[in-house]
Amino acid sequence: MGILVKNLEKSFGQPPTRVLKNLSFEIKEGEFVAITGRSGSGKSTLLYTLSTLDPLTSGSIKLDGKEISKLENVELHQFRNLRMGFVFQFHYLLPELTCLENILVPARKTNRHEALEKTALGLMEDFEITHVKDKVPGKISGGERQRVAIARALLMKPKYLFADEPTGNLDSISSEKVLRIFERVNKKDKTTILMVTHDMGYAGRAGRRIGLVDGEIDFDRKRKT
Amino acid sequence: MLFLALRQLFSRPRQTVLAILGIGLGTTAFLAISGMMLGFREVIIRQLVNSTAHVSITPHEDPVTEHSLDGFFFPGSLVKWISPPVAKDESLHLDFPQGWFDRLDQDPSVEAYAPQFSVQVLISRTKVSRPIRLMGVVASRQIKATDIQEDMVEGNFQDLDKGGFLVILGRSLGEKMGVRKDGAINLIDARGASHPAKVAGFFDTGITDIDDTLAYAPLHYVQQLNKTPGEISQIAVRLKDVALARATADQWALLGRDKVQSWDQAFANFTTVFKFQDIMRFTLSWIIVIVAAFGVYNILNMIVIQKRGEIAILRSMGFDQRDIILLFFQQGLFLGVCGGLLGMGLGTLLCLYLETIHFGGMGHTTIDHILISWRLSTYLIGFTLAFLSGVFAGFFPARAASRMSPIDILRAEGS
Ligand SMILES: Nc1ncnc2c1ncn2[C@@H]1O[C@H](COP(=O)(O)OP(=O)(O)OP(=O)(O)O)[C@@H](O)[C@H]1O
Ligand SMILES: [Mg+2]
Repeated sequence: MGILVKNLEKSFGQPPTRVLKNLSFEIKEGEFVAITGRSGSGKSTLLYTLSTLDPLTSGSIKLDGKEISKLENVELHQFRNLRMGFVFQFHYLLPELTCLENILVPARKTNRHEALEKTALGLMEDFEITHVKDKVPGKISGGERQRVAIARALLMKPKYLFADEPTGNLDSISSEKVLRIFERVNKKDKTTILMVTHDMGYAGRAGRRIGLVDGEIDFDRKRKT
Repeated sequence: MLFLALRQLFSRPRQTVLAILGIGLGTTAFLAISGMMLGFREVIIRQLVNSTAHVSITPHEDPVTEHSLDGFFFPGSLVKWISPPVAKDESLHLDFPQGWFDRLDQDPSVEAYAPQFSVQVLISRTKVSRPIRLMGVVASRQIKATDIQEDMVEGNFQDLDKGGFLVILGRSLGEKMGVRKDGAINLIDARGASHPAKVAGFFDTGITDIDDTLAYAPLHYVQQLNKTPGEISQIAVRLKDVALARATADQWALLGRDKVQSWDQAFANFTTVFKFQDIMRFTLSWIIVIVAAFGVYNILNMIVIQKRGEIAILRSMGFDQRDIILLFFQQGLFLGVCGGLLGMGLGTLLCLYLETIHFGGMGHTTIDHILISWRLSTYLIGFTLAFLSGVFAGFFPARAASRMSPIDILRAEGS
């Protein structure tokens, strides 16, 4: 069903500053979309608004046909838990848990952390981080941390993966690994990915690029294949 | 969430242990102080109740006022006294003891009662003599209405009923008279007549004033000694529930002119001390809750601030506000419960130790070591205080954490 955005407006403060200006577009299921633009153009704001974390000011966002501003509390949290994964520039792993336990945290919401342990181990193998499974995040490299965070975001097999500059803190080798993972997940599991990035090279690897300038869509193109 | 809560605490062992110690030591202090205060109080009450009974019924004593004798001296006239009479209209015996016996027999709240008749006599042996109060009792009734049997250190109180002019003396009185059990003494009444009696045993209430100056003897011997057969000067009543002593006494006092007093009215100054102690304990408990809670609050507040980012990511994973509250509230509860348990353990040990501390006698009583009350309720209160400090201290940081907007945190942390 995908994401359907109509006349989306988002403003902050008093008097209101418009950060997202009358955006309308559609993201189909299984797309890999890169959102690019200058600092302050509203990329993060768009991502958070689409992903229910930040309420919109006006307009409409339909996620799988559901108007997200009208979701009840329980439904909203179910949406986040089951249909969405988040990856940020910073990993936000819980320092007192091992990497495996960290990956399983989303499953604790529904008490399925034991049932999903195999899935978690499978993800770790895919992402070449099996060797850190019993270590705490403080004792592994930045690239490994980010891959643990991605594994955590994908544990519940979400339909949508939202990533805000996932490679922002990583060197080129680690960044490349993250990109490969994104590409594979998008292809193999048909996960819809929205990735904010500054890096034109990585943006070019997404199937579609949306460029923002001052809260408006500057360009929206599909990659020619 | 409990899993995460505990892991967060165990990842900070030092702070966690300190917080638990804080609550635990506070609880320990509360238990030790309460134990000592209540222990001391229980013994005092036991001794007071023992020496007076729960409720005692004595003859009325009305002060004579300026005009209360007018009718007697000058019936029918208005009198202006140049020097008004000063006296007490005091009776030495109850006007109608049988009336009391009948009503006490029927009252379901009465456990037992004992009629008594007391006179002042001199006790003498060889060249020593001392003024004492000789209390005539029916031994079988006296032991039911008071705790005298428990205070016997030599002989059996019931032996008084065996026949003959037997007396039971306070132990210290016996020592001062230099008399042993089965020894002979003389009792000299107000008229100077001497009555030989035999010592049947000794008691020790722990209250020096009583042990020095009181002797028990069979009721009818004392009545005969005073040449007032059948007279009763006091009825000692034991109630089924000592807590009702005051209410019962007040109610009975309305029934006639006789003076009805509960043990705590008879020793009003002690009850004032007890009230003061209660205020102190109450204040202390709140200080403990506040101090302990502050320690817990501090550590949890710090955790919440440090963990803003993790709170945000948990929210993005679908954990709701309730989950976040639970996460931190459970940590507060855990600290409170652990502190409470630790406090109960340490408190018990400290009280056990305190019980072994001896010190010299304290003048009015012969209590010579620290007395500890082992009431379960004190421990329950102590634990509840610890628990509450965890609840209070956990609640506010938890609520603050749950109210944080995940998006604001992410924006603040991400930049
Ligand atoms: N809570 C807020 N209150 C006020 N203004 C805000 C708030 N959040 C964002 N903005 C403003 O909205 C605009 C867009 O911010 P946003 O974070 O979306 O930009 P961005 O494209 O992600 O930039 P960057 O590449 O630096 O991350 C900025 O001008 C920012 O100052
Ligand atoms: Mg941004």
